[in-house]
Amino acid sequence: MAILSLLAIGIFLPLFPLSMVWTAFFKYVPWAWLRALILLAWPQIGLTIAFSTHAQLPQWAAGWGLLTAALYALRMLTLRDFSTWIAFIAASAFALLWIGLVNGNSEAVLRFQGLGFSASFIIAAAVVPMLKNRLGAAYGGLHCGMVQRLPRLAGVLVLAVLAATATPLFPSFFALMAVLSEASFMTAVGVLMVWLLWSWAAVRLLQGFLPGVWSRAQTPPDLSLRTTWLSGLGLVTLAGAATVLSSMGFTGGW
Amino acid sequence: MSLALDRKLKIRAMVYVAGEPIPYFWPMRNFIHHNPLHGLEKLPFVQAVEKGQALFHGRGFLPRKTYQRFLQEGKIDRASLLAGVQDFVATRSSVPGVDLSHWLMTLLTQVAEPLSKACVMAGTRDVHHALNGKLSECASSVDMAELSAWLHEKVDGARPIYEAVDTLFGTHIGTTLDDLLIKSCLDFFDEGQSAWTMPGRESGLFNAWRELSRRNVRLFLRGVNISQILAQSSTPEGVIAYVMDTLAVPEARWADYFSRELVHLHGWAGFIRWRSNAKHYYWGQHYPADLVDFLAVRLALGLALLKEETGSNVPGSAPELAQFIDAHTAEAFLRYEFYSGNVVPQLAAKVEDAVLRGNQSIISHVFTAYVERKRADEAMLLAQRLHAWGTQASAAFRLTSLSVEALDSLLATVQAFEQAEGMLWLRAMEARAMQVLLRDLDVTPPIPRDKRPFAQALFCIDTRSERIRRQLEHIGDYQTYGIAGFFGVPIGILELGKGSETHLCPAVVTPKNLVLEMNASGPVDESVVGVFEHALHELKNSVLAPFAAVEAIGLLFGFDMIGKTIMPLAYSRWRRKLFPAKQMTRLLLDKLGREQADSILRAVQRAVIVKAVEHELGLPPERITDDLVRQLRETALTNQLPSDELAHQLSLEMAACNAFVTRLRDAYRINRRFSRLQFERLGRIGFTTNEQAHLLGQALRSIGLVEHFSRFVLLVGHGSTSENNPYESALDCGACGGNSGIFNARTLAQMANKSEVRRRLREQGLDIPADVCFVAALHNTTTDEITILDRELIPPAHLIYLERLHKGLKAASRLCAQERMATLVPSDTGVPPDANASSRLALRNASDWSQARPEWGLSRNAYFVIGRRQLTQRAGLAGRAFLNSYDWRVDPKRRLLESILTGPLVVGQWINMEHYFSTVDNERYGSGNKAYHNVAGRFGVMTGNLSDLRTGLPAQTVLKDGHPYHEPLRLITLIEAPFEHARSAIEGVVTIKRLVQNGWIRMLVLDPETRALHLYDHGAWQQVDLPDAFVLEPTGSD
Repeated sequence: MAILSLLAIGIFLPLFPLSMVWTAFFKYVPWAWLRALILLAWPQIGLTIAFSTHAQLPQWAAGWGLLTAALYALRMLTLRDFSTWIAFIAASAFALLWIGLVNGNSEAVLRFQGLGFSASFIIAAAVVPMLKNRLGAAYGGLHCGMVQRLPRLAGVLVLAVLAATATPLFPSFFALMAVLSEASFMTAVGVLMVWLLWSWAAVRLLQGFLPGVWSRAQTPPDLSLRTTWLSGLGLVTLAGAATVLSSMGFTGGW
Repeated sequence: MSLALDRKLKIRAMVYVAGEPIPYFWPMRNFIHHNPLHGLEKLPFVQAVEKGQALFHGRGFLPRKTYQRFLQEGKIDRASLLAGVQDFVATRSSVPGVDLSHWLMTLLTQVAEPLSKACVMAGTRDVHHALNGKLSECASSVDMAELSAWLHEKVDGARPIYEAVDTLFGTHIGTTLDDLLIKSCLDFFDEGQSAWTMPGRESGLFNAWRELSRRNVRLFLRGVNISQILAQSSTPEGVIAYVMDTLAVPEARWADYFSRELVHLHGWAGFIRWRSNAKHYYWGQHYPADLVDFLAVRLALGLALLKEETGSNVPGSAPELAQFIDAHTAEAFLRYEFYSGNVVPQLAAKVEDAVLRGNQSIISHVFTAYVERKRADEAMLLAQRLHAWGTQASAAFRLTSLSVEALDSLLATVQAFEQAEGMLWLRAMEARAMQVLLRDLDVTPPIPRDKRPFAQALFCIDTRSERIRRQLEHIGDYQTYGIAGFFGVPIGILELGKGSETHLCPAVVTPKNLVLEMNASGPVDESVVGVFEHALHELKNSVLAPFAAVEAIGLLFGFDMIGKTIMPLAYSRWRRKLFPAKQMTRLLLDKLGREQADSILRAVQRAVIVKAVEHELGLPPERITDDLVRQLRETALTNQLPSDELAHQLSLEMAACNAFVTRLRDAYRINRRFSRLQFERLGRIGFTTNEQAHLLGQALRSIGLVEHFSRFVLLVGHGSTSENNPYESALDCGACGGNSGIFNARTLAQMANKSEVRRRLREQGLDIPADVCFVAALHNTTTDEITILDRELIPPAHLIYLERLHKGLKAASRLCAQERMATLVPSDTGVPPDANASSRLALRNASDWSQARPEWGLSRNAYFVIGRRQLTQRAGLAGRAFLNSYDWRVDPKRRLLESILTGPLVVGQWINMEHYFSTVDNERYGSGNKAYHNVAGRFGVMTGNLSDLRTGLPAQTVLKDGHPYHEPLRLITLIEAPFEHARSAIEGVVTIKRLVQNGWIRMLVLDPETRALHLYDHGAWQQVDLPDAFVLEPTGSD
């Protein structure tokens, strides 16, 4: 039973090789709203199993979680498909929750950390259909030069990617800070390396969309002004909410 | 591996031939406008453009959208366009139910994007199904043999192997190779920009690079095993042969292969080509390099990088590549689609996954799905575009009724049409331009003048002179002429204070005569600011000093930066006051006798020795006696041995005295060898009186100024002023080798004012009255100011008229600036700035370091008129015409006309073609955005920190707000002369004949006697009458 619980937690708080379930599952979900739901619910399910079964979590799981996070962060560097990229960064981020879990953090704090990561990834996932509708696929390197031809969409994409990669003041930033605050020195160094890899992967992904010469014959319509403002407002609200909640201590020590 | 001599020579010959299409790139210090397709001028224009597209990937015509915009703006003649379309339709078979003329005209004028992007998978039948809503009936199978052949053509061919590998495997060998090669070129070709120079440059590019590469840590860290390749041969030819044999490229394809390699960095290749042929180029003489060296370095690096990537799957030679395509056609196709960026977006992730895994069954499965999707997508896209087109033509329903065969014929027609449409647009645009030119010509016989004009002014033929000439003629009794900016006097000038000679003549000419600028205002102490600037310059060149200097004196640079940025005009005026005023100088342009030359040489050496003694030994002036100087000179020239007395006079020990004498010989070049060189150079100084008379006579006759001279004859050279502008030389006079025409003007003026010269001309029948004063002047094309030079040489009797002349010139300048500023900075209110504001703005542009466009330069050039001024005097040509004065009546043997055709017209054509191609494709043929330029080695610019040398003109010169400002047309040349006279002259100049016959120049001849207009078109001369509304009838082919 304990092993089954551990396996289940390992699927929902992705631990390699069980993390492959998550990445494969996410890739084949067709609808954006369902993906958002899954991003939100997945780590929560893992935490629910962990706390409801009072599973005895081995100490090595924290290290294994960190290694899983690093593995997926490294793998992200060569990804061009934005959906897969989101799946991988989610796997990397959710794996980091093992650190707090093994160290005995409270359930509320961990849930907020999970929500913090999920909220940021949902923003990124929301941009995927915008890209698919206009470019045929959310795939970097196919249609460069977006910054000149589709500046609003480019701007929203950049903010979404920044949100996903734990840039201040987005929720994932506070969640990551909370993870760091609970970690030992060596674990913290590992987490920082993961964060560095996320940033690097973000730049490589954006390089495939933003700069360069537009090669398509026609330019699809950009985001409407309304959508742009709404997206911006959404991002600002999220950042604001995250800041407030964090200052109230919901996400943990930071 | 040592190559046989015949093989070496063969390789050299192949490289030479491979490099021919690449145009020369002159150092930017003397910017030379040139045709980027100069190497292809032996081909007709259309073919050359196609070849240029294949070699340089450059577009030869503007996008259709831009031409449509021009059409709406009235810059294209619709009737000519329609005639061209009809002419094209006449050569094609008809399509039942489709009015091809109407449809194609609709396509040209109302459909923004070309229709016929080549379909890879979809055939006509598939498009037919899509048009009829039966997409599901599209074929599902693929002819693999056909696909394989298609892949061979796309990937294999004459492409370098690494390029094919990059295309199929997503490697970045090409980019890495370019980066490594550019870095090596920057190191080797540096001309004083770097503080640390590459060692061993004297041994040549290949040898120097070879020595360094074997110890290159950067290459070692990358794992690039270059040593193994370099060990095969010590000569560049040997390395080339080794690499090509390793890649197993058949020798028959080597020349083509080399071409493809060289055009990758055609800027650098063009520079090396020029450099290796420039006999007197200092850097080329000391650090030799040629295309064979360059190619050897490139091939060696390419092979090393290729070997790095080559594994079990990645082919490393031509046969392996061919085998891969044949054996794994499906995989090769998917790879090609993915890495070339053509992949169907919805399947990109799947395709990437499949090719990365390498599992053949997955690949096969993905291939089938991909082909089906691609076929459907292509068919649907083309069907949608055809439908949209049909809708525009108000006959979309016709499409669905077409049979497959008819649709096939239509698609083939569209494809052929879209390939030819560029020329249709161009010819229609030229037709409109010709109408504009011819409409305002004045062909009436000139009315004889009753009195001589107040002043005559000879301007350069440069298009910028047209405005100022028009304004000058408008405001007073001035007569203007156009002549090549060097005034027919090719000189080398040794300016005061400079140690090297500058050639002031067209780039294709080497001047035989040297002119010296001599100080006429006495010795001047170096200013404090000058010393400070010199010290700063030395400091900046040091490697470590700047780190400390920034802390110590960084603030000073801040003041400079703020001043230059916020108030450039006022700041530059204030800065000028810190430096002493420019000294009065004279030009030494009379031939020296032997004694004179010897005397000058001695005087120069004595002056140098005095400076050396002051500087090195610190002796006070009263101790530096003539005798001491004489002894030092004789000792340095080994005419006598160093003596104790000499050492005593210098207050030195004997050893120190010997060391000083050695220093005089080595550093100060007081030695026999250099004396001989200087003596030879002195022999080049000046012109004999006969030569002066000949040059002056030729200049005056060439423009038809042989009588009725006015009191003042201004010789107006031109130059420009700008700050922080690597393209500064491009704004100067092209006829003076990219320099200001100031010295040519002064030289000819000085010659023309000599009584002896006039006496000899009188004997030849050209009588210049004694009261005629030739005055040199400078037209600053950035500010439009005209400055009179050498005022002190103007005779006293003329001074009373000088004020009137000044006022006239100033008024013309202001009016010209007003006309020009309206094009540079359109007024927000719709009202152009007044003359005052325009003048200020022009001055500001000239001193503003942030101004990326101080003037338009030669942008919008379109015409070259060879004839009398009266012909174009009424025509407002808006600064678009090269105006070369010519009077056929004084040129019975056509020599003057041939001289104009050989020189100025060829230069005009180069300028025109450079502007043309820089406009139609600024990224490939031009140099892109100035904001990203960095100076490389002090001879060129790159985009960013590492790129090919940017050739062509920057975007700011030919584009405005992203749209073409320059209208790309071939140069429309009009000669005013009897038809046979002009035709014979054209036939007599081989270069021009070829340019005209191949369609690089549009040639018109206006016969003033019969008033008949002749146009060269479609390989023959056609006579056209000169009505009020002049319409040309071009046809589809050129």
